Amino acid sequence: MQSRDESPSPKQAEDSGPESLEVAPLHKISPTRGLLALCLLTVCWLVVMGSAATSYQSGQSHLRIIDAHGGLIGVIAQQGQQRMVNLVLGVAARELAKGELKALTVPKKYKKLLKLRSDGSPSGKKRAMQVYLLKRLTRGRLNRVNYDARVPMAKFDELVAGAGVKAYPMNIYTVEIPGADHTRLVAVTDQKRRRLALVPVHGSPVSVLP
Amino acid sequence: MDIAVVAISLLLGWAALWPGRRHLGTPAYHLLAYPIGVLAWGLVSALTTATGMDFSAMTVAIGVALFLGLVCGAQRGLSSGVGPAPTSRSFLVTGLVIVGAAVAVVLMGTTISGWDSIIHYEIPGLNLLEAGSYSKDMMGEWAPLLPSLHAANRLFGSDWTYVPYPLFAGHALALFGYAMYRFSLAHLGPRPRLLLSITATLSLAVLPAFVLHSLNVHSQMVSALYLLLALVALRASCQDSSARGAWALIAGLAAAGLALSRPDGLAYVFVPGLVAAALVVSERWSRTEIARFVVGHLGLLAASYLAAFGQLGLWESRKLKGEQAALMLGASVVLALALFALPRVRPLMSLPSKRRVMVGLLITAAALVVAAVALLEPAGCRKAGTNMVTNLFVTGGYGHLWWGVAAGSVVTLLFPRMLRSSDFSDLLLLALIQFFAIAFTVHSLAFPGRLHPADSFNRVAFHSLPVFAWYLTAFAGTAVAAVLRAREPAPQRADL
Repeated sequence: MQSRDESPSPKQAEDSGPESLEVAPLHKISPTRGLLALCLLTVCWLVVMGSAATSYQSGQSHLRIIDAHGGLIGVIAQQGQQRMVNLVLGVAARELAKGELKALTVPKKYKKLLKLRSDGSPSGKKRAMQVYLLKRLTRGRLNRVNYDARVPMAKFDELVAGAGVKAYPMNIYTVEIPGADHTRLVAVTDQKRRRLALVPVHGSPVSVLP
Repeated sequence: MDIAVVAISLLLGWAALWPGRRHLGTPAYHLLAYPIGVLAWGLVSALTTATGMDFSAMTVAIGVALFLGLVCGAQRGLSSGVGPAPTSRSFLVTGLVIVGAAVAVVLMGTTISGWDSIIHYEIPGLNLLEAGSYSKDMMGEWAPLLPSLHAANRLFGSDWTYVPYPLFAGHALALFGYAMYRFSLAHLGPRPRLLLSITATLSLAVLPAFVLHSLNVHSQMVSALYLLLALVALRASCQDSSARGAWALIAGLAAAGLALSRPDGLAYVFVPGLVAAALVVSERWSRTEIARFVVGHLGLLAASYLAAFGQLGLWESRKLKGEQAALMLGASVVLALALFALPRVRPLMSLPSKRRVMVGLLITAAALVVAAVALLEPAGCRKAGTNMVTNLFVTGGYGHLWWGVAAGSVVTLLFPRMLRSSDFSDLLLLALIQFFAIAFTVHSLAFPGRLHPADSFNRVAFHSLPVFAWYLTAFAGTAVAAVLRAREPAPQRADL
C-alpha cells in the first residue's frame, strides 16, 4: 500500500467537499417546522422512557440481576425476559471452581457427550464435573429465579440438611422454606451433600425443559 | 485474573492501532483499542484450528503477532502528521478507566447468564481451550469469536467469563456519545451539543434492553457494538480525507467483528459493506483506502472460515451449514471486488448526486430481494414477518420501546428537508433498511422464529437500537438547530 494513493487529487478534494455535505442547508428549514418536529420527537422519546420506567417499576414484568454469588443486585424490568435469567449457572461455575470437586465423578455418558478429555487429573475432573453440573443445571432450567437476602445462609444449610430436602436429580435438591416470600431453592451439593451452591427459585418447583 | 482478558485486549488494541493513532485522534484511538483488541482472540483460535496446535501461551503469542502484523501492515503508508499523538497521560487515564471499570464489575460480581451463555459460549470456550479446534456446532450455531474470548479468559486463569460484556456495553455507549458530539450534533452550539449528546447517551443506557444485554453473556451487545463501530468509522471517514484510510480499516475490522460474533453475522456484515459501497462512490475512495477496508473485513473472516473449512470440511448445521458459510464468504469477496470496480464506472462517478443515487439503488436492490424472497417463500415470509412484528411490538418483552422508535422514524420521514439536513441520515437510513431487509430474508428462508422474548430476531433487533438512536438524535439535532436559529439576531441568521 503506497502512501501516494492515500491523498485525494486536487480535483478529487474539490469534488469530495460538496459531495460529503450532500445535505439540505439548515437555513431553509422553518423554525416552526423545527419546533413541530421536536415536539413530535419528544412525545416518542417520552413513550420510550415511560415504557422503560413502567418496566422498572412493574412487579409483574421484571428481570432480576443476580451477582455471581447469588445475591440480588437489583431488579430490571423487561417483560418476559426473566426467563432468560438462569443466573445460577454463573453461580455454579464460580462456586465449583473453588476446588471442592475432587471426590466427584462424571458419568461416562456425559464425558462422551461433551467429548472431554478423560485424563484423570484433578483439574480435568474438576472441569469435567463443572461442565457436567452446568449441563445438569441448564437441563433443569430455572425460571424466575429470585433470592431473599433476609434468609441467612446458615438457615439454608439447615434446610438442606433437614427433612425438607427432596432429591432432584442426583446432587441437585429443591428445598422449601416455610414462611419465606420465595419458598423454594435449589441446592447443588457434592456426593457427600456438602453445599456447593444454593439457588433460590421463586414459585413453582424446578421445571425440566428440553 | 477475571480482568486479564480485558487488560490484554486493551493492550493489543493499542498496539494494533499504533500506526494510525494520529489519524484517528486521541479519543477515538483509546475508544477503539478494546473492541479491536478483542478481535485478536478470533485469529488465535483460527491459528490453533488450522495448525492443530493447542490453545496455549505459545499459540496466543503467535496468533497475537499475526494479528498485529495484519492490522499494523494494513496501516502501512498512512500519510503522516495528521494530528497530535496521544500523550502518555491519555494512556494512563484510559487504562485506569477501563481496567477500573473491569475491577468494578468483578467487585460487584454482576452477571446474567442463560442457556445460550453456557451452551453457546462458555462450554465451547472450554472445549476450544482443551481441543484447540473449532467444532461443527461452533461454526454452525455460535460463530467463533466469543468462544475464543472465553477460551482466552480461561487460559489466563479465570473461570466464568463475564467481565468483558459490561465493558462492551460501556464502549458502545462511549462510542455513541462520541459520534453524537463529534459528528452528528457538531452544528449546534457547545451547550446544546453537549446537553443533547448526554441526553441521548443516557437515554440509550437506561433502556431495560440495553441493561439486560450489558450483563447478559451473549452475542447481542458485542454485535451491536461492532455494527455501531463500523458505521461510526464510515461516518468518520467522511470528515477528513487524510484520515480516511485509517477509518476505512477500522470499518473493515468492525465488520469482521460483526461477522464473527454470530453465525448470521455473515449476512449482517453487508450492512456496513453496502454503506461503504455508497461512500466509495460519493467520497471517491482511492484504491488504497478500499484495500484497507477489504483487508480489515476479509482478513480475519477468511482466516477463521478457511481454518474451519480445512479442519471440518463443509459442516451440517441447523443454522449455518458449511455450504451457506462458503456462499456468504464468496458474496463478501464479490462485494470487495465490487468496491474496487465501482470507481471505474464512469457514468456513475460523473453524476452530480452520486450519494443519493447510490442510496436509491441500494434501497431498490434491498426491496427487490425482499420481494423475491416473498415470492419464493410466501409461507416462510408470512410466519417470519408475523413473528418479527408481533415480537417487537407485543410479545418480545420490549414494552413500548419499538412503538416509540417506529413513531420517531415516521416523524423523520414527515420532514424530508430536515431529514436531508441531518448528518449522515441518508446512510443511517440505508443501514437500517438493509438491516431489516437482511433480517427478513434470513428469517424467512431459514429461521422463522417464534413468539417469545428469546426469539432470535427479537434479540437481533437489539443490534439496530444504537443505530436508531443515532438516526433519531441526528434528526433531533437538526430540529433543535432550526429552533435555535429563530432566537438568533437577524444578521447572524443571514450568515447561515
